[in-house]
Amino acid sequence: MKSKKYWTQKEDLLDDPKFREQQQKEFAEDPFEAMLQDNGNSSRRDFLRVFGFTLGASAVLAACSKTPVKYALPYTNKPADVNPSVPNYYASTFYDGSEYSSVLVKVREGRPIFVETNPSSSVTGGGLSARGAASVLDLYDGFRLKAPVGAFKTWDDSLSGLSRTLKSISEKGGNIRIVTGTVLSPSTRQLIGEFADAYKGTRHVTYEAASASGILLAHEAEFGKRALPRYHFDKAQVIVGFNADFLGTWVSPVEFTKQYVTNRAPSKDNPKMSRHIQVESMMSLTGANADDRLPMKASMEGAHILELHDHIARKAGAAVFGGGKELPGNYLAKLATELWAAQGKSLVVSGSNDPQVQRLVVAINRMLQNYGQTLNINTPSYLRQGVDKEFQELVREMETGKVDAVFFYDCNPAYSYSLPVQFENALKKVPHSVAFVTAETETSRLCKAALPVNHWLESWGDAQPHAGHYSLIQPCISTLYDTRQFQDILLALVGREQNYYGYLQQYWKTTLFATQKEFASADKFWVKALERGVYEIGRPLAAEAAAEVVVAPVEEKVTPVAAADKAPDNSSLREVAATVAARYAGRGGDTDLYLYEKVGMGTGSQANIPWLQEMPDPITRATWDNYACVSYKIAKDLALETGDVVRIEGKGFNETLPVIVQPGVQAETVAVAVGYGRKVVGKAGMNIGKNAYPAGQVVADSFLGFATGVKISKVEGETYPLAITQTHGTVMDRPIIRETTLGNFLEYTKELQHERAVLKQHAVNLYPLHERAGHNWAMAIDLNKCTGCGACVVNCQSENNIPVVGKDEIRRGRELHWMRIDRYYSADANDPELAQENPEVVFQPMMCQHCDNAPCENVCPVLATVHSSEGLNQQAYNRCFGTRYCANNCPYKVRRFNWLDYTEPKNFVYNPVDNIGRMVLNPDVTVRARGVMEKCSFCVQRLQAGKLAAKADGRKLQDSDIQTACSKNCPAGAIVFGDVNDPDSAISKYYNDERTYFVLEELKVLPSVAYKVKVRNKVKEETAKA
Amino acid sequence: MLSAFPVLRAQEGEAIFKQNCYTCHRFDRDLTGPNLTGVIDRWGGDEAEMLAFIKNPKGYADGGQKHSARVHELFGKYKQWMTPHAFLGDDKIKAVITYIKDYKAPAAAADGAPATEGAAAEKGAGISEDALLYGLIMLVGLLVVVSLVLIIVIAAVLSAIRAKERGDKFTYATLKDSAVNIFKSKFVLTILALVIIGGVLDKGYDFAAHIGFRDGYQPVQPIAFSHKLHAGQYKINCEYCHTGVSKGKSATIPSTNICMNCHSTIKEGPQHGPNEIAKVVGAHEKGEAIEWVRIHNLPDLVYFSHQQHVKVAGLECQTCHGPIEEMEEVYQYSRLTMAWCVNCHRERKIDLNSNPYYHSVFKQVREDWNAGKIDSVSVARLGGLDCAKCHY
Repeated sequence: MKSKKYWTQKEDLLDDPKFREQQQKEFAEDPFEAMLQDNGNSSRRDFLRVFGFTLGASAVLAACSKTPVKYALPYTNKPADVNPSVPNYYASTFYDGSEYSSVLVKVREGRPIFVETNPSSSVTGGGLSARGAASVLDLYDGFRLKAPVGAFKTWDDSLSGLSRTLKSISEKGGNIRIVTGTVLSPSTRQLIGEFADAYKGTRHVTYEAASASGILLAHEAEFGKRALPRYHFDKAQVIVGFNADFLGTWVSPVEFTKQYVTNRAPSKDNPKMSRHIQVESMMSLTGANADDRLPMKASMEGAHILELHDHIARKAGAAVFGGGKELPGNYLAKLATELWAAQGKSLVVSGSNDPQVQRLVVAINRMLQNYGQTLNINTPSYLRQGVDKEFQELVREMETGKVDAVFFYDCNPAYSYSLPVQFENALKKVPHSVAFVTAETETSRLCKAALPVNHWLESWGDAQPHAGHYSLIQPCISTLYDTRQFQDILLALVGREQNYYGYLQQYWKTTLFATQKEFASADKFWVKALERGVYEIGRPLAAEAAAEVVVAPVEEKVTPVAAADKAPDNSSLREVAATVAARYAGRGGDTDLYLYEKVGMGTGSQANIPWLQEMPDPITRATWDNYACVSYKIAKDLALETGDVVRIEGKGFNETLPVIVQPGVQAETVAVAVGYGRKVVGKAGMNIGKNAYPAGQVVADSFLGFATGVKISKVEGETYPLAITQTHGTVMDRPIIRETTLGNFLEYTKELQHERAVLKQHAVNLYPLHERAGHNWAMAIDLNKCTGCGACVVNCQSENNIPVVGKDEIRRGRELHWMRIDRYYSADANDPELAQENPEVVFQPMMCQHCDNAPCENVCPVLATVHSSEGLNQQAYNRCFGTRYCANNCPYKVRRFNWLDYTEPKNFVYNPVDNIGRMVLNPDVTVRARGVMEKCSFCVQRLQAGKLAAKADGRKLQDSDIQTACSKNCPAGAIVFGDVNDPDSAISKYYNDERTYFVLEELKVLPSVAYKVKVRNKVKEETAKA
Repeated sequence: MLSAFPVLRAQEGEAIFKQNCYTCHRFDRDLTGPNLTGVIDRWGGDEAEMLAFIKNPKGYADGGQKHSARVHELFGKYKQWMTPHAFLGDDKIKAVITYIKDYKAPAAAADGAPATEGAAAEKGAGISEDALLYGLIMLVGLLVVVSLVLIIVIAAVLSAIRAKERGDKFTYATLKDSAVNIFKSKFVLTILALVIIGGVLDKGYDFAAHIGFRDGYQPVQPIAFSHKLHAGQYKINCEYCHTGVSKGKSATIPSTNICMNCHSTIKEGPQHGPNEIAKVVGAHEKGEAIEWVRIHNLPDLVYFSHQQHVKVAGLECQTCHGPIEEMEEVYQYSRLTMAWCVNCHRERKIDLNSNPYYHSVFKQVREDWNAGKIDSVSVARLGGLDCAKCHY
């Protein structure tokens, strides 16, 4: 253990003298100097002038005791179920085209203000991603399209005009195309079918920026079913991922995280955990959590998978094809042995979009007997339905002028398609093009007309993420602008009187009603399903929420993906292997450009949400930008430092980007995030980064998400100040992270607890200990379960009205997030080269530790921060006058200072400060003013509300009454919060076990946040380093 | 159903009655609805029919039931259907019927009295304080006059002595000189200056310390609504209109549709005739919100919950809002400063046996209290002075 070194950036690892000097400063820069530099022209005279005026003005103001007259406007007709100040929760579904979550929406006085997980869902119950949490801000986005634009000016115009056009096209035998993102809604799929019946010549094409088209086609070839299997990471003991960031962005990260962590927390009684090996090109969130992580060139992925296939085929006695490539140290051979030993309990996944590669992955999982165990094609998943080839064909059709009308809904190909120029030219040849959008996009600008549709929080709908699992979407606010639902428009065009609400009900009351026997009345079934938000075939609706109930497999008719009217690829596996061997041979010396999705930004559809822009990337800790993550080797060859600028040239791509020298990136790889560089977007997303989509290679009609043979060169003399949040705050050789391997687990924890006991013996208190007559709030965070996804950061921001500070302020180190996730790299300290090439990663969520001997409390001259009788470290904003002594004295550096007035729109364009935007604010939390200190409050507003609910009902307080925003929505369930004085609470049983430690316990500040030792499941012989 | 829920007792029936029926029904007169004395006989003692009617009055009337014709006759008289009360559930409605059946007219003027007692007592204390203040001012005035007289006497004596020493004549002029000299002496000037500065500082401090105090604030409201009439004379339960008071943070200003429950039939008031009520009806018809002037304004940085104080602690509205049932136009009764809040939290005692919530949370404190080791448990003792109780 002692030889292991933890660091946050290269300069720290290499003991850079300049860095060490800066480290002593504790804060990023001298804040006062920075303040005077704000405009570059402030002077001492300005300061005195302002100072004098403020003094005079405040004296005059104080003398006026006249308080302005306020008014109270009651409802004229109060809705029966709305009570001012009492929140209502409505079950709904979040799906942004790539992430699915069943959610509850907190609505205050008719305004959605917070999205949280729906515990009734067996798919995502217990967690909500950062993107899900942030989507509530999207609703109030000022950039939303408020009325029809383009060819139509009013709704009446649009509908009559459209139906006339469609009719004439249909009668002439023309072609109509509806292009959408994945449609999860079974009723909408049925409706699109009805539309196609009404207008002959209509075809529905699914387009996704990040499709799983390779997996779909591979299963079609192997099983005859074009479907995405449902994965069960919880049932796998050995998990192998090839460039599949399943904890961060791949297919259904919240669901997979929930499954993954079930086998990741060893205890004294059950010292076991699953083993996870990640082979990847870029340091992804999933790779950061893996037990073994190996760099791999994306352009050789197929060859490595082929090699793994062959190793396993030898054991299984199946055909061996040859032509694969081994990883260093014969790693794949060893991996094959591990996998073979865990037959039926292993899972191999690949993020590749090449159907040929995916066929090999299918073959591997088949040989390992994993089908029906850890992945299932009989109960498929519908989360990805797009097939790249079909969209390619559509573009070709449009180019030849065969398409007469095209609709775009829930997709933005003009931005995310690999060949944007080709698409733009093709679209110009379509006489009638309409985009249905919530806000204008690159695609809608190219269309002849754009019609505004409802945000999901204003819509009705349903979703079917997996076979047998359904959830409902219900509106939580009436439409803010003159918008309509896409489905309502379709119904109107089909000429139905019915609205979509009625259509949806009808679908549920007939089709789905028939799949259950629990209710005799369709009305009752509908009401109960709407209340619960989810309906799972085979699981009773009336029973209380129990996420652990296993759903019986349901045999359903599997026809999810629009059929291609073509025979499936029937080439033999041997032919596939030959193609893969040729395609992925890889040339040494060629540089790969690897495109990846960031956890916060995804495919870029939510680029205008400032919360997501400001959310630090889990790995690079950078905000508000994309950049070139270059490997250590390339950095060395080109003499690059973080903050330098490089030019990347490839086919269809030529951009300059700032550099981050990123440990873990494969030696001959540069990685760039997609989702940035939006051109038609609101002010938060405008001019942020560069669009990397056009760089992606298209091979055999599949978007592969990487390019090989790119040229990378340093732009001399140019630097770019990236807004990175973790440049300061290093461990400085303190035991902040505690980590061990599964083999040493029992021994290590015994030693650790002994060490802690000794510490405790020597604890002497100068101050009397606080009395805890009632509650004693505390938190425990499991470093083994925490994947570092950052959902808590955005959930906290949404709950606590935390302002966005913008790129410039982050550069000054003034971020305001109450919660941060520290990322530390670690490796053998003796080998700095290896350490920078492929280190291990640990994440540690860090927020106010609510110390019982809080160092901040002793130094506040005005008692603005004091201890509560329930163990909270309280911050009274109205008392604070901003000395910042507390921040200085805090050993965890978790206090945040409001440097500027973030509520003033002219200073900060990003915050929700206009009349519509302010509706997102949580009315139970003060909007802090300039010049006060703030920090995590343990969501005291939720504690107060929970206690009051228990008191009003006259009952004991339950754990479920008092969850903080972060603990409630943590997909991994890594954060447990509660009252340690209550023997029945979850935390009291969990707070002090063999893995527990406290950060900086030796300071004896008695923090209230316990951490659990990180454990890695390493094979003893250390295969990774060989 | 009946086996699952115990039959509610008559006292509970009374509470439900006060909450839901009392606004329109009395036992001594017709109001928005008919006088209830003798109502059981009118229904021929058939409780099942009454239950069905109360749950859905119009449905009952139109359903061709036993009493449908009579109910239609009543509608002709009152021009309004009773609100459906199915939301109460059968048990609660049955409890109300039992209460009506067992109702006996009380001795005159018994009900409602206790609510005003405390407020009256507090007001009495206020008057005696005023008297004390006036007394003090008079005393100070008297002292000033006496000291002035004394100074003149001393001056006279001194000048007389000096005149005698010098052998001069004691004249009025020398008396005046000597008096002026005394007033010009540094000692007296210093004293005077100190008194004046002290006075100004005292007044200034007093003024500054009261900035933002709004007790007594009584703005003119857009509609001359009288609490004295509604709460005092008609004894309408506060919660009938202020529906949020036990549900959440805000007591809520009643929505206009609640006014219309009665004022769709009552169109004339005793003081202003039809004028003021017409404003309410007009606002409702036009769907406009009435712009009431807000009287009780806590700063945004304070979180105050009515539910905590009314439902959990069981405080009377009058404790903070004063004798509301005597107010023609409402004014702010309490000071609503932090000192005022904190003072109450220090003094108010909690009955730890009252709520099962306390049983588990404050187990030890409760045991000590029940064993007599602690005299009383104040709000402060249970954390009522924590900043984050109100500020977050």
